[in-house]
Amino acid sequence: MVRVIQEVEPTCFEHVVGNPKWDNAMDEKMVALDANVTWELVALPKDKKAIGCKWVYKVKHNADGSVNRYKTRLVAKGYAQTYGIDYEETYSPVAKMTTVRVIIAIAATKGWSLHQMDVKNVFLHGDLWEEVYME
Amino acid sequence: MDQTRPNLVCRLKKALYGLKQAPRAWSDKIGQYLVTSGFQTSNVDFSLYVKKTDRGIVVIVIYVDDLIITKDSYVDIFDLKKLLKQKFEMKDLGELHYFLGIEVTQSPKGIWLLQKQYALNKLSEYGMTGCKPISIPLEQNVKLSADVGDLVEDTTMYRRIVGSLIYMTITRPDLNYALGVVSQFMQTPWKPHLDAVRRILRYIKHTL
Repeated sequence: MVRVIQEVEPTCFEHVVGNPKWDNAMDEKMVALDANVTWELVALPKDKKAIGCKWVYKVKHNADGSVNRYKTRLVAKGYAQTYGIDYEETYSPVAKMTTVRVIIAIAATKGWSLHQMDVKNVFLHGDLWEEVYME
Repeated sequence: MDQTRPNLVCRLKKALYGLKQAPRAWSDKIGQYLVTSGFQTSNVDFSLYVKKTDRGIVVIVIYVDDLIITKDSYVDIFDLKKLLKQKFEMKDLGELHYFLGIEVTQSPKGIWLLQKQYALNKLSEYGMTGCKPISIPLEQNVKLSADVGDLVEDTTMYRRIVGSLIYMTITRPDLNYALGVVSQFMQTPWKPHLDAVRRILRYIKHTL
């Protein structure tokens, strides 16, 4: 038997505030963002606009259906950004499938071993050069 | 955010999920790090990094948050992995087993690539789990012209299935011909074309 009843994932801050599970998760996230020096508090310059942000919530389950953890992520409303003002170039580090296959083929012929690593919170690592303000 | 100082806003120093430049900022960061560690970027694919040492070479392929590392057996990458773990909170998943829906099995005889789980998931997603297997992916001598029978109602679904099937050609070149045929009707698929696509799914069921 699997547990079919799952906790509903909240969609906004107002729905979770005061709920200790989510409050703790958000507090931890804020500490991590602070430790990462993600931002500094400044007065918004007169000619600049600040973009919004929101929390997104996800309940991670174990294979048996029990709750593994309450995952939160603070996301910026990037759709409010303007090209040339608060962002310049965009790019995504995605390898071509042919590259992956060639590497696997070379490894196979040469008898090399393949290893794998993954990055936690991948998009929090980058440094920003543009002036981006968030409220 | 800070209720006590409501006039202040956050000037972002680091990237955040949702920002347009977040993927690029990450790419720059890992790229710079690898270059300072002696890697060279490939001109062919900017997600490919190669380092040549006197003991052999190390190759890193980056797929956003997934890294594949391979190397000469004489090169030791223990230190490299340790540094990556420290610097970017990376998790060492050990030998490559699963990547982008492809199951990888490494043995002294060679490397096996499988998309079995992916295929099973897709059969279930398209309601074909219980379908009757068939041994040939395309009906023989059939002419699929552009205007026979009825139009397919859900054209998005047609394109989605064909897209998933094209992804399966990574490990399944035997699907290529049949897919070449059904791909011609992506714009306006008709019922016989959908039947041909279903037949490919039945063929996949036969080969699993």
